[in-house]
Amino acid sequence: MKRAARILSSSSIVVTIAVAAWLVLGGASPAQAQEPGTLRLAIPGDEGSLTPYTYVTGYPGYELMSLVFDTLLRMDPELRPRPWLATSVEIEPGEGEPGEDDVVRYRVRLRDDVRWHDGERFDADDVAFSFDYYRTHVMSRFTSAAERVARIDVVGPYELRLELGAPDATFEEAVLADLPMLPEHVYREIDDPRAVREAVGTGPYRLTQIEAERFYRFEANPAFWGAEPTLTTIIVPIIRDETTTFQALRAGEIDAAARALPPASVAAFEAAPNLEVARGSSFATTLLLMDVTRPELSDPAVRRAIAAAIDTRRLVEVLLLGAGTVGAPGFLHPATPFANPETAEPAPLDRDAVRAELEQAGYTLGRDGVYVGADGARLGFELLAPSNNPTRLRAAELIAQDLAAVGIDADVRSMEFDALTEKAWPGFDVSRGRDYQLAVFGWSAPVNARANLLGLLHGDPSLGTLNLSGYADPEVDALTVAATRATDPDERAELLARVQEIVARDVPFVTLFYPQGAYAYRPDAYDGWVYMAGQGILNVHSFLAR
Amino acid sequence: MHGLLGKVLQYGLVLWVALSVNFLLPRAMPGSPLPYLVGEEVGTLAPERLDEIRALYGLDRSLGVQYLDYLGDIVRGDWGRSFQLGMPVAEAIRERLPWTLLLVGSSLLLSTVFGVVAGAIAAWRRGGRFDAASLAGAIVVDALPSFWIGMLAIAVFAVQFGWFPTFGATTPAGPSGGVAYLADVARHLALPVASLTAASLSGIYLVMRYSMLDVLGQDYVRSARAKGLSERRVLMRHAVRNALLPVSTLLFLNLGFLVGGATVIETVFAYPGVGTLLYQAVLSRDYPVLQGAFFVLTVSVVLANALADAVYPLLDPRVRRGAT
Repeated sequence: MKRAARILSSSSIVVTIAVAAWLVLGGASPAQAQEPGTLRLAIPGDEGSLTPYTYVTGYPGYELMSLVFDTLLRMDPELRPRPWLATSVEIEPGEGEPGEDDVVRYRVRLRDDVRWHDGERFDADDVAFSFDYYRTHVMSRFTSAAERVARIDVVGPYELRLELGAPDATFEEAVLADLPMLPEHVYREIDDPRAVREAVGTGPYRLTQIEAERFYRFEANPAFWGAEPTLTTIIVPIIRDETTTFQALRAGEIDAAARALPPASVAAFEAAPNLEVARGSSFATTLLLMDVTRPELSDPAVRRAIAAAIDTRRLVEVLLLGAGTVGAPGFLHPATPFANPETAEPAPLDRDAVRAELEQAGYTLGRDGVYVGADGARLGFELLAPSNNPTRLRAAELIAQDLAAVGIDADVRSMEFDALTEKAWPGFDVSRGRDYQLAVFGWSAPVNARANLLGLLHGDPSLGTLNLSGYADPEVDALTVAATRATDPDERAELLARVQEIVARDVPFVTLFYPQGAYAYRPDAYDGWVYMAGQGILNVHSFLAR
Repeated sequence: MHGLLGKVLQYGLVLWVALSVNFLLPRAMPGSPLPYLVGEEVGTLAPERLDEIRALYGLDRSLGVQYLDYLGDIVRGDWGRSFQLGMPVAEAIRERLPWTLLLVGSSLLLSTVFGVVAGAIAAWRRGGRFDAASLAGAIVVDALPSFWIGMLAIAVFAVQFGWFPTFGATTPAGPSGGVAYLADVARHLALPVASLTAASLSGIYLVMRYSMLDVLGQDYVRSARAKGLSERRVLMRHAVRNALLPVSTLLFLNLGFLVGGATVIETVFAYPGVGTLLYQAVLSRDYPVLQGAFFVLTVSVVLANALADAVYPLLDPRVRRGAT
């Protein structure tokens, strides 16, 4: 009996192992077999329920949300605003009453054939409602944009008039092409938009499944008003780890990734038989920030010396393996529409000239090989770098070497990204000051794409909301304000060109580099990608017939 | 009876201290949850707007008031809503807990079984070929970081041989029921469980081996042999049983941390468990998720310890006698 029990138990173990093995190895063949018209595109993190209030990141979250929600205008791949839900946007000829000639009125005409995903009609009331809702329910990106409109009048079922308190040069791109329209019949009842789990938009794809931390599923919207969706299904798995993402791509378990390839992997993916790599510009910037309100850094001669001493070409060669653009002394990426060609390239590296200029400005070499000012202040600084970003951390180390070579001491200190941000930008409020000397930092693509020099440089914290250097210059203040009001592109270009000259001369920060974008995909699964300037292949144009 | 009351008070105190630390630690980190509450471009908002947001989420109140509210909410079972995910914290944890229990539970089971068997055999045949090889192997594997084991497993068994999938708990939008679903779950589970087992196996193996060596040197083992018992009986009845005591302590400790997930392995394999939830919550200063997840973890560790306290006298008669 005992023996029988033992045999029974050992045979049941064998059976269990056999079943497990069959399940694991034989049960189903790997997931390569997929239906045509399906794309699997991995993203690096959870994006909530992908509504305008619940998506998490500007990229890729906003882009995925834009498959479901439409805007009035939409930026084309060359970053020009084009008609989308709006068929036309015109500035009304001035009927300005005396004393309020600054007021600008836009007449916006809408498509009359658009329906929400639940079948309701989209009309001018939805647009007016959306602007109101964004003003009263805060979501940083959309609230500050909606607040630029002083007044909205619904003129007809598909026609509105928007009134602005002052001319606004970036109104079309930063407001009309950015605000996702909300369905009034859904959001009217909703007080807490962050609790919304269902995405009802007018866009080319419907969000049909959300599995938290696992994947999203989009399906083509057959009733879409515009160009035909090119895919029937888009599956968006979440893979946090970079290495795993690209291993999954090599194994054929995904067809593309929102992540850019790390520079060291580009060649291998270009050589792989089933993969292709789309390359293009990227407008995200990496900067060396300086607190110019500190006495040692308030002298433009010192800041010019720091900028001239840093070999940004070497940074691009070493850190990005050449796959990047050297930072323009005038800040704006050379491929952006308002870049000043005169300030696009840094001068060739000349360390002797840097030393000579410092000495001319009254600095003398101390006994420890570091320059000291006439007031005895030593040019020694603490340089902060984020510990989670190896590229920026290595950039800080190379910068410290470069500065040491001209007699400036920089002591690299690595700290967690949020801790660094809290030092450079306490409470995300420039008026609270800053607590750093030098820091390696970065801005995402929109700062460049929208030429937001006002935010970066204006001395008034309510306008210069990104001015982490504490820079202030009356001429720059006047020029940047004038530029935001210059609705004539030529006039705006002229004003911004002058600002870039001053930036190159005054060096409120050093623009180090812009990485290049390289995105790998499996062309046999999908080949309709459109590279959006400065951003990459994940955008709504990639998923619509041309 | 008196002893029981004392125990309850003791556990209550531990729970309260742990809950307070769960509240204070996330807030002691530098940084702010604001960008996750209102979006990345928080810098474009006017300072008054930022103050409004802080007020809306109660972040403007004093720490003391927030702390009292937090304790009240925990007692009422209201864990709030995740700053980042927008969903209720309890729901976020509930969605991930089964995957974590499956992954960490299977690995705990496997590593215990293999660790105990290998440790017992190694000690029994001390100095033999198996002992030397397994000891060397255990020390080497113990020194390898678990993410590296995971990456290696992916590179070899998923990409090179194509036997297993590289990521996830199931094929996204794959089979949703029946045998095909079970097979899909099992295929996705294989590599993460194997990696996690490899990473935790050596600890149990080493404890078992040393404990077994200790037992084998005891007088009662010598007496058992002297009585003329078969070697098998000495091994199973006298040696292994007694050597298992320290392993069971280790097992109970690990049991408590079961619900915390395995952050590193979960991240490497994109496994949707509690570990990745916690990691992301730390990065985004998601206080409600941190509080909720750590609360579950705290309760589970305390319960596992209570269980160990309750079970230990049953396992070890010496403790039983000492307690009365």
